[in-house]
Amino acid sequence: MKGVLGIFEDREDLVRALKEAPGQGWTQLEAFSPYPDQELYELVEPGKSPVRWMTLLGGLTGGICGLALTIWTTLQWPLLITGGKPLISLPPFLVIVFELTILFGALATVTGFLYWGILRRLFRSLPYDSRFSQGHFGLWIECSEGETQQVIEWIKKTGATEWKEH
Amino acid sequence: MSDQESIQPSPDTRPEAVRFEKVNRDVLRTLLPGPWYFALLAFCLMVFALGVWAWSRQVGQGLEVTGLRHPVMWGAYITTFVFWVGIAHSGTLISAILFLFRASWRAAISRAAEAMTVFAVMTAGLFPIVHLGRPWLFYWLLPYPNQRTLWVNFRSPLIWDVFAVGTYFTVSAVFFYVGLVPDLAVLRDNSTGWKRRIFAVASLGWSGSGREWKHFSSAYLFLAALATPLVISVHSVVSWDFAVAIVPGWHSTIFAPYFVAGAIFSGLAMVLTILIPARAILKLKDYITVGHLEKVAQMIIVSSLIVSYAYLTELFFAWYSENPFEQTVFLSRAVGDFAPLFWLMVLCNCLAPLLFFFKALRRNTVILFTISLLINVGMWTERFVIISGSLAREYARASWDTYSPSGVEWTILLASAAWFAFWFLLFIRHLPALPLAEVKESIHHAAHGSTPLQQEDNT
Repeated sequence: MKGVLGIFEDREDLVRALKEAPGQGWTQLEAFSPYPDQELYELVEPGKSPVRWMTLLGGLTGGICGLALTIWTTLQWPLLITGGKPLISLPPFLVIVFELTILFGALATVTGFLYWGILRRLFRSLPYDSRFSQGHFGLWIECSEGETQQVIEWIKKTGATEWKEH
Repeated sequence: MSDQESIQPSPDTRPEAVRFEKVNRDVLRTLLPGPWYFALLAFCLMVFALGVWAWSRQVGQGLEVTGLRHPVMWGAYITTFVFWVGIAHSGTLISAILFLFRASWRAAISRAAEAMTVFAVMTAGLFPIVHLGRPWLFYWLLPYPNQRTLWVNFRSPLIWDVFAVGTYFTVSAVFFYVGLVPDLAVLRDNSTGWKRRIFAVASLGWSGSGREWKHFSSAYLFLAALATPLVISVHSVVSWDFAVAIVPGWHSTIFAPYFVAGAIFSGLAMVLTILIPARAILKLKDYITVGHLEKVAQMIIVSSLIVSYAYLTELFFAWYSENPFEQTVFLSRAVGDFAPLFWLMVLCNCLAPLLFFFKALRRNTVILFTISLLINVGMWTERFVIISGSLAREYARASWDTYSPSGVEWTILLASAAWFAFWFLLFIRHLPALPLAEVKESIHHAAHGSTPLQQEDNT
């Protein structure tokens, strides 16, 4: 992947650069920050994270599994003495349903995070600078080889303290 | 004296990048174990080994080596199980519930509290197995297909416990790890050699890109939203281990909220017990300030009042029900064999925390630490009085008895504390005790006068 990585000390400079870059014709962008910053990640990828759907899906699956497990296993061994109560006694089963809803929901949420947050990025192999985990911010602009000089000229003006060609 | 509630005590005009680097330096500096540290680790392991030896005697000779006799078949082990599950709860309160309530001050103490949750559940999980006469058959609690298609009884609170505590451990561990990923990247970037390789794998190649943060924030929010009802369900289920049985003193509808409040109360006290020495030893007083400890003390007051109210309600139930068995149990708690423990519990859980109403006292770390220890003792005693005290006065006078734990039980109890301390010590010197990314976020928001996390609404 070809492009330029700019390093910023000031978050505000990065925000401004991120807003202006699409106007220059560069749309394949990524921002780096030492902490979660909503303004930044909304600029690089607007919209809501799909992780929420994984939470819902996992929760529903867990609830259904809980119902299935309790009802099916009770019917497998129906001779339990229930003291006149129905064999399928939902109130106690709901405890299992509830716990499995949470368990599956949480595991699915993490799976969603691993897929969208981690795996997808591992395959993009963007450049990295170890200062991003310390206190610096970064901006990656993807461009063709011929454009790199132009991007560097522009990124100098945005307040980047350093830039690297990749 | 300035109110030390913000992360940095004085307005700092240096560029943010420089201040963020200082956060990393200050926290990474704590990750340098010395000889004392290893001595302490070895000591914890020795005490734990002593517990394993005591347990092996119990396995060899049977439960007769304990003080458990009919009718008191649930004693120190079950008490300690409830105690450690309770300790876990405040970690989730701080990391999940306060996160949802946008209480940004929680950042400083959240990592340590989350770690405490995971280790406390690991400790609690030992006790139902220790309590078994034939511990090698513990897997009978799990629903698995077997030859006779003999499944577990889902009407039993003990099975609910397996699901609740199992889910709680898994979700807390996952929550702890997800929150740790960006900080593991900091460790990776600050280490070399084989350590760097381990942290590189553990941090999942984290780079801090916007897309990573976006899905991270979303996942963290939903995990917090799932952990919140979970934590309430877990101690409710633990309380139903008792409330569902028809033992006088147990069979009460207020048990679930009563136990949840008690759990949070004891857990908050444990947060103070751990953090007050830790912040001094690790020199993190600029980050974990007296202001933070004071806020924990304020939450202790609230939960203490709820617990005290529950004690009074229980007594009122006994009196108003005109049920002689119920009344006998409560009367014997106040004046019978368990009376010293009952009054110790009242002193530690209802009276001592009232001192936190005075600002000077709740900002004094020595007093905070002392009262937090008292509350730990008081909450263990409370469970002991409820569990064993009720069984000892169950219905017919002919079956009454008393109970005191044997040496084997005390040794195993002590070993469980060593096991918990061992894991916490491993954590405190090998992983950042503060959530670095969150502390940086609070610094940024403090500098710009905005509240962190108001933003989350749109994730």
